Amino acid sequence: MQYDKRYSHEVWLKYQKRPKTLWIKLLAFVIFCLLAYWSMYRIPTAIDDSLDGMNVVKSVLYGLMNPSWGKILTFENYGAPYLMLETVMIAFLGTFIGTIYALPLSVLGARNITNRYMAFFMNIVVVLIRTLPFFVIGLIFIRVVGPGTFAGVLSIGFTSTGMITKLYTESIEDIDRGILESLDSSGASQLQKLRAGIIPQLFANFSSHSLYRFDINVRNAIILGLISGGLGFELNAAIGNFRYKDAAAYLWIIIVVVLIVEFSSSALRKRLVYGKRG
Amino acid sequence: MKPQDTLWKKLGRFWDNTFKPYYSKSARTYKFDTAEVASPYPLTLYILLLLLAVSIYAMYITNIDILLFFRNLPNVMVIINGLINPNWDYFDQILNPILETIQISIAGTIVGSLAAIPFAVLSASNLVKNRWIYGLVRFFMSIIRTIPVTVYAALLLFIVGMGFASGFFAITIFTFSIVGKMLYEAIETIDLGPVEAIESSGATQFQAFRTAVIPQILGNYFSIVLYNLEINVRSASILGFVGAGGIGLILQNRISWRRYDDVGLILIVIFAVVFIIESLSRLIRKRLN
Amino acid sequence: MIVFKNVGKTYPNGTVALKNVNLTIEQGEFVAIIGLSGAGKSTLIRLINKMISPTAGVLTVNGIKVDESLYGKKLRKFRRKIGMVFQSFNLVGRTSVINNVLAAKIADKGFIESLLGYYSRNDKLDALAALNKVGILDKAYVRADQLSGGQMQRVALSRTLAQNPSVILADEPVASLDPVTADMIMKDFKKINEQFKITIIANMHHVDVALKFVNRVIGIRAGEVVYDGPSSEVTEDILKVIYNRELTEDDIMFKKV
Repeated sequence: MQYDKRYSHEVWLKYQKRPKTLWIKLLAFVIFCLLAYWSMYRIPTAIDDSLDGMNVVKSVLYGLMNPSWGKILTFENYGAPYLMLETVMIAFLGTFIGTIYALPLSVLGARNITNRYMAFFMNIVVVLIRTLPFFVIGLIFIRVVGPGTFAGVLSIGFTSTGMITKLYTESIEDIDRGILESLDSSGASQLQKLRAGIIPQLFANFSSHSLYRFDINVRNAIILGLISGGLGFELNAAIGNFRYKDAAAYLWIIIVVVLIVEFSSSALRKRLVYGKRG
Repeated sequence: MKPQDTLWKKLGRFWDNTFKPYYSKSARTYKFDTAEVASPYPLTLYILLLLLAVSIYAMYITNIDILLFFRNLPNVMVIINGLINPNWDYFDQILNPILETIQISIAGTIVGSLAAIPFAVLSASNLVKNRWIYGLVRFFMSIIRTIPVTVYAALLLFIVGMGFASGFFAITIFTFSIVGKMLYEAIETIDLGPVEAIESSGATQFQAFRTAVIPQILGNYFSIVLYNLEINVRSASILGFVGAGGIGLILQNRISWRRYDDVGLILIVIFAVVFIIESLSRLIRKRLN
Repeated sequence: MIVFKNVGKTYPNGTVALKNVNLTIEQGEFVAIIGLSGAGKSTLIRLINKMISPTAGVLTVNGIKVDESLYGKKLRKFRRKIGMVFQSFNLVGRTSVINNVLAAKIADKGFIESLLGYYSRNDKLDALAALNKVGILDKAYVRADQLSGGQMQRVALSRTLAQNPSVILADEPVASLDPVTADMIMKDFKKINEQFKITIIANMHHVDVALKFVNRVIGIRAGEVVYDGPSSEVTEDILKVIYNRELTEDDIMFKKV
């Protein structure tokens, strides 16, 4: 390496000692390219040219412009609003069940309340519950109680328990000890510490987590409807039978309701965590 | 509360603390030397009642039949029994579908994450000052986000064909909307000070962006992409149901035939795949920080 | 050489930030600008590299007029020669110290090089040399947010040095630092000014720091220059005029024992 006299010796030494990260980055890039190629090489052949794709797109868009108003503006049993209400109720109850189960489970799983082994064991159980896809659980519950909304509630309830417990446990473990210490030093009893120190913190956090899960559950409930009956099923049936106007009707209701749920849940959650001004 | 208080006194105090604030303003006023402060009207009871009411209504609408559940509980034992004893020989038959599911997930995640970048940049209020632009882009992405993956898959069946193609495009669109949202939220948390500093040294806006903004969100971006990869593997397993390729169709088939030992194996394999991806992603995320 | 001739800045909403500013700053001077917050110090400094545009008068920096004709490529080339140091350091915490200093070089790069973030070997050596000039060569490959405040400001300083500027503007460079570190940083500024003959113009709201290190003090009050002279001649009465009040504890950094 030529010694450029403009630079002092120490600068040269430091330069030569520089971390040579280029190789790792190159390697990562190569691995990435290989992975990308492996996962995507089948795409061009997989696309079915024989289908009249553009026509379908046009029909879908046309249907979206003129949805079946009959299905939207009715509150009858099989109109879109009722089905959506059903779905939201499934999500609500599922979240509710999940929350109720999560309360004891999360306390048991928190490292600052129970001992390490119990907490570890609970965490494994929770991870197991979480990895089971809600759809599969849905299929199983349908075997138990038959298709319909009940199976939906049970499935969503079961799978929500997993994530809500995990979030709750994290909240419990993150409790701000400082507040408890200052309460201690002012002479509060255990019960008072619980009421004034822990519960306000946890209440806000827990509500926020449950609301978050509710948002997700509404979407999952729609998907679950595919097998358990309800909005998901009707929507897919409409698409499968090329009844795009009906499908559009269901889609519009879904879009509006899910947007409202998402918007209000995130606004409520912000308010819970940050207080009135946010 | 002193231990020598009578039970009646304790009850009285309990009532004063929990129920009286609902009908008496003085019960929730705190008096100080110079001022009186009344805490706002308590809403807790009303919220609880509301939740209870909604729950009862929900139970009515969804036809909850607890008795039915307990009557059929033995069925669950059969199912669980099958799941716990997976059929290891079945593995050869599901290898290809599982690989297909993985391919769909990875491909969809990559394309969706890349496509989301420009839209996320346009949605960031600290980069784009025009309210209409970022509002519109955000709104557009929200709508795409509300439509479930399975619906996209079902629609795409007739546009690009069954199997791999529809699954891939469905995951791409879905990932696009989620990564878009998470990315613009991350962009809004960055510090724009360094951008000013680089611009004051004579660089173009693009160069300032490249040196001051990108290092701040690159880590977040990879985290977001990996997180979505995990979600997508699960979603891709489901998409098979609507005919979009991968393991989903087989899964449903096995369940209909009550071959729970096969189902058990499939679940284990899916679990293994998700676990591997989660571990890898956790490792990579640690390295990035 | 920087020349202000009747320069003024009035914002569109009517606020007059500066008016009738007449100054001449020669190459190699070390000048401090003092005054109350909001008096116009930041505005004055940001006019020099056109972060803010003057609305009245003529501002000339090294022969180039700072007005509407200075934009685009011409403006960027102009800014290359002017470095800026900020109160909040403005470093990119998540990347290494040397990457922060190298960022000063990207203005000279073309599109592809900028995109890839490619720096030549000489670039990297220049950056290391700049770090060496302020004495933190050993931290070159450390992540920038692992440093202390004083070290971060030094990195910011070496970032400007990597540009080979003729002028360095410093906007409250030591306001976020503790007295000991502030002293060290000011000594670095002084060393750079004397060794490399770079003009340094620094805003300060700590009066004693300013008086201790600089040769020339410019006092600003309500947008006008009320004092311009050697720091040795600054008296308490003059300070009262600049600040329009008695000095308080906030205006002094090095507490007298």
